[in-house]
Amino acid sequence: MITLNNIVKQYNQHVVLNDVSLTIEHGCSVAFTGHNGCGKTTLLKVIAGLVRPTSGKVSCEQPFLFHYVPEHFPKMNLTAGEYLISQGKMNGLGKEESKKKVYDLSEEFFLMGMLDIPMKHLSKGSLQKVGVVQSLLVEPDVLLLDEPLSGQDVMSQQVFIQKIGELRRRKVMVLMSCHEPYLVDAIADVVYRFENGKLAEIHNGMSYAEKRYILFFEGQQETRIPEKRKGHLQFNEKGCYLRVTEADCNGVILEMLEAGWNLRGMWDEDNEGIDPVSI
Amino acid sequence: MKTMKELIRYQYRQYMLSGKYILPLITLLAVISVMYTVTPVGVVSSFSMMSLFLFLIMVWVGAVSQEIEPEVSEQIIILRLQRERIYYTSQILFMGMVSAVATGISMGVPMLNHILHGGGVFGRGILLFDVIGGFLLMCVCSFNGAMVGGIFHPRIVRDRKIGMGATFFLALLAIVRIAVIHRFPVSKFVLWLVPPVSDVVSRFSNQEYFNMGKIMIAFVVLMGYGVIMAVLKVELLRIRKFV
Repeated sequence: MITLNNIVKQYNQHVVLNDVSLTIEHGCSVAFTGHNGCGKTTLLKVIAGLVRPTSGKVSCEQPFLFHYVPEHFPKMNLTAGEYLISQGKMNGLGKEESKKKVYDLSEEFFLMGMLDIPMKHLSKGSLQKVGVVQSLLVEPDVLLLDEPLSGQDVMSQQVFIQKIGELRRRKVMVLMSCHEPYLVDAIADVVYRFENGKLAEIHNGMSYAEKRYILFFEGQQETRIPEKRKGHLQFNEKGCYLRVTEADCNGVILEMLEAGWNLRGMWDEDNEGIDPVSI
Repeated sequence: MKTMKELIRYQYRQYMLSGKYILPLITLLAVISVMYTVTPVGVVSSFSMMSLFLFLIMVWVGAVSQEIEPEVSEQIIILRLQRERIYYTSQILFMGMVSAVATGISMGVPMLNHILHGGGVFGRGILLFDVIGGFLLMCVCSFNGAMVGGIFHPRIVRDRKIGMGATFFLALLAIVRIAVIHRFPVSKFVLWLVPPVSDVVSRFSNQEYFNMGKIMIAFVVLMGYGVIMAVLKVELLRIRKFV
């Protein structure tokens, strides 16, 4: 079991994690969702002990073996094969055992032809596969996944989901920062959403297919604010925007159109690069 | 032990593939060739002078080498090992090995030249004590250089300009320590913190033969400074963690 007590993480004046408390049971699979830069990666690193919280405490019931799949695997001079075999040996595997494990996993992830290529020449997707393979060489107690599917092809994604499923059946804790709803659906028992540095549990054992959208409206002179939307709209110099769930989306658009607003934009909330304030 | 061996092997591969050794190696060979241009030279004095140059070159090597491993792969390895100290210790041991290799080159090139040119490089024949004494002195100075170069690690001093400036200043102080203390005696109350590389080396520069007793004292003192800097770095990295 991992327990987080009142974790606060602050960078200069910016509070990334604001009094986060959480208990993660053995064998549980947890997904953290939210905007880029909302603190998901920081939380994973705080849990692993890589980042020191400004205040609060992380307690593990035993010294866990963490394996980590980063969002951006670094480009290195070593070949993928040399790197992976070396990681296996650091995990305590013998040379031949490590080699075999690397070859088996590389075959499954369609990485076999790339083992002799220096990692600095690999594409983002292939590097991400190296990141995934290194995390599966030895079964960890806790697997930290930071946007694990970014750049991977569909077949590899399926293999990945299947592998994570096997680890979950063997009671490995899986903690994941993720944007892809289908991955959250496939892997997570519990889903938390980051809002203003705090965690809100949004799902427990049910489907997490529901998306959220950002709607942007421009107003005319005779526009009014619908009663139900008061307090939910945020304004900038061009108009206003609001966040809605997929189920509410059509209803909200209709309400706003009837109130005299013009719909000027609609984005998937998890879409990278969308900053509603600067629309 | 197996893990440590693998860590050092991994760092060796990363270091060699990075090519970051090329410029310091060229500089070292240039210094050797300049130092032994006018021959014959004194065995002890030339080895002592070379120790100072090696210290400075290894400051450079130590400072540059810590930027080779990407932060993310460091995090992956540290989690994999479950003990940060092992990883950081392996880096220090690797720097110790680089120091030994640099010392081997610094001694080997002139000695080989001496043998190949019928004994014209040094003013007298090379004794076993010269080899042992020279190696210990150069090696411990190199190691101190590597530790000075690494003490202001990017995670200990986040601003790289300040970090590199502080490294340069500390290295300079280690070289001019005696002169500063001579000019401003009160500075000795602060400068004892700086590795006494120049003090130690100056004790041998006008000697004809190495005194093994003195060499052992110099080795223990400088090794003490080197180990303290290494421990300090490891503990600071453990406290600072990552951003």
